[in-house]
Amino acid sequence: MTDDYANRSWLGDNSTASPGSSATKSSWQERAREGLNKTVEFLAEHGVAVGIAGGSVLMAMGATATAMTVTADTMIEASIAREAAASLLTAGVLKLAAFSGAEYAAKLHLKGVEYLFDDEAYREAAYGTDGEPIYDDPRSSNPIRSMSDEAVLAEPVFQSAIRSIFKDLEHDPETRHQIYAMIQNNPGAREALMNAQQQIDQQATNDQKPGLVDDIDYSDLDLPDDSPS
Amino acid sequence: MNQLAQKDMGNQSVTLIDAEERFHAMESKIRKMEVLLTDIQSHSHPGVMDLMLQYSMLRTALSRIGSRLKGDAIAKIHIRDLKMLGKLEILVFEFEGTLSDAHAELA
Repeated sequence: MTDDYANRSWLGDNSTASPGSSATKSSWQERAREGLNKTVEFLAEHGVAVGIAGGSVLMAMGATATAMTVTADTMIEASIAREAAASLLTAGVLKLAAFSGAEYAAKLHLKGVEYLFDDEAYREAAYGTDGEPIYDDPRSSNPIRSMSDEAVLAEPVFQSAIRSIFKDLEHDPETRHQIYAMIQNNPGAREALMNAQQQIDQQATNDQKPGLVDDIDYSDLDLPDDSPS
Repeated sequence: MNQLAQKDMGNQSVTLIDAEERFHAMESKIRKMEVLLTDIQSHSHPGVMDLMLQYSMLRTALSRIGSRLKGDAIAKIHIRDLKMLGKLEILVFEFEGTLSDAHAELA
């Protein structure tokens, strides 16, 4: 499997893609977007009951918010790949689900995310001991696999990616409003956003480069009184 | 059994009695859909990544819920959880239709 990957240039290689077909909008595309929106809303509302950490829910929100900016006439390589932070969050959501196509699609369509999948916990979840990808047998009764939130979120770049996306939402008030409404429903996601903010502020102070980090305006986000200041 | 579950999809509330069975019907759909996704995942149509993202979220959710429906844990299932399962079932059902159309066009 790794040989197969090595034989291809994943960055900018569109040889297997079929350009041109996105000129006309497909009938299913609107429904795909709607479904994605409804699913991330579901995660925000029921993430706790489902057993998904707030950080992962926040990651899914960020990935969805940026996916919404991809329009019908942009190739995904050109649009999603433009934003490093968006690529990271999207790859993070795929990685969490640990299915056979996650690594393949992330490496093909997203840029700068290869190293995320060079990870023992991911290998273990998505590949067997023989290094072959595990395809779920539809007849099997094995539980569906996914990775632990901790293993995925431990990657330090996610903190800055999450913050970068939420900072960027200031230019998109409609999406921002929608995401913040969801965050209100999920204390864990709210806390994860605050943590991302704190860690980056701290890093900026340590680096003595405070000018590099702008503050997110939280004025329209109803934060709990006991939130860390 | 599968036909019965199919008929119920999104129509009737999930109950304590059929929660496990309907969960397994969703699981089975997610497994089958992986094959369809594999067929279209190389396509650069912008809708493909939307589908991959939604699939990932549904898959992760089902994977986590699975451990809560095993053995004794099912006794702790709350009415809220049944409503949650009902919503998830609709999402899985709708996604199946969308993915099937995308597959018909792109594969």
